[in-house]
Amino acid sequence: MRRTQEEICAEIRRRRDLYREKKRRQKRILMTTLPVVCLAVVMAGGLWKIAAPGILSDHIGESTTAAFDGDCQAASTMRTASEVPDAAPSQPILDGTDGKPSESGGISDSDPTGGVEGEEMTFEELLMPWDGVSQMCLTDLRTGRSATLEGTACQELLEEILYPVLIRSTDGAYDPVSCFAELILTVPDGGSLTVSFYEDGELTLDGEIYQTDSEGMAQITKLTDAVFEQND
Amino acid sequence: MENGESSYRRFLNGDETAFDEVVKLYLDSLIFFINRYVGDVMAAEDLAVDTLLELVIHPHRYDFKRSLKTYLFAIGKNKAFNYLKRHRRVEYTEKSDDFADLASLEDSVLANERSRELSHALDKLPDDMRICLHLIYFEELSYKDAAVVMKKSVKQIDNLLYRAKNQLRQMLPGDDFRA
Repeated sequence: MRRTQEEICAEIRRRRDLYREKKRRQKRILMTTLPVVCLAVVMAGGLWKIAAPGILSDHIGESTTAAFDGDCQAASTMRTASEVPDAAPSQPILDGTDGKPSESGGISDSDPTGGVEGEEMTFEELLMPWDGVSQMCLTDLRTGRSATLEGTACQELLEEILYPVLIRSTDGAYDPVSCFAELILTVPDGGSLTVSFYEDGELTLDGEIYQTDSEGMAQITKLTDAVFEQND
Repeated sequence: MENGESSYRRFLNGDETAFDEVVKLYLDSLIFFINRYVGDVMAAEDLAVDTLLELVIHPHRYDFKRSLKTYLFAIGKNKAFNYLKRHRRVEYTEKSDDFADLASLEDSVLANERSRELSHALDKLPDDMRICLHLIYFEELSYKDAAVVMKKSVKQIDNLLYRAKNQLRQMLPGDDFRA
């Protein structure tokens, strides 16, 4: 059964209090342990500086120890730096609050609403369903004429004409012009993909906008002609 | 009741009770919206709570430049996507409780039988079209706000709506769907 609004408000208040308490506790722990950690690091650094020449001469030899003496400070600094884990790239996205991977997939500064976990689909991945297109239905919206192609004929047209056009395309911007043709492709899982062609060279693939150039437009015209020709 | 932005501003200024107003204002519509993605009212309710909690946990991320509703729906959409990456969309075939929950949610969100009919028809549309129509018709967001929530351009929203309305006309003959 669904909870009432009052119950939900109470839950939000409870989780809010838990969150605040957790932040307070983290701050308290940090304030207590930070001086101890700093002191330990300084002492370890000092001890290492004193003991290292002896240790190295035991294991490596005098010449290395002599070289080490002159560069002790730099070596120590480098070691400290290398001990600090590299920032973000290989780590899970953090929510910036409790140091744990975010349940919501992380919220970046550039996107205050939070992102979706994982990567955006690449254009090539988007095209993958086209591999098994079994049917294409093209409608010329200016004349109302439409044609349907099936099987290998439609595969060949896609591979030779439309596919290169889409690969060359890039994201387009908003500019309202009329759509002059629409291509509906039937894919193996029974679903369909719609490609809409616009007069300014933009085309949309299932709602995503791509921009093509004059050569691409010529290819699209060639495609529409070829579909109607083969259909006739 | 004041609008969501001013209630939230009062909450940020220390009025703890103002947050309840934000919850009451947006909770049901958020659950209804997230349910369009996840198809499970209980999960949608949990995700809506998580979404509202973002306002508490990250209070300064909202900049008051756009509507709080758009901001919340954008977070809700992301939460729903993340949920779907871990779970499959649930169809309403299992428990009678689910139907009862959905019915009570519809009662609180949808004004009349006509809206309910339209809402059920939306379930048969592809995801993007369903969400787009939901935001424009049920939440009455502008094309621009719907584009923000769906992370699409206004032109894509326009295009999606056009195609969605065409499909709806076939499903519900005799109806007129105007933007």
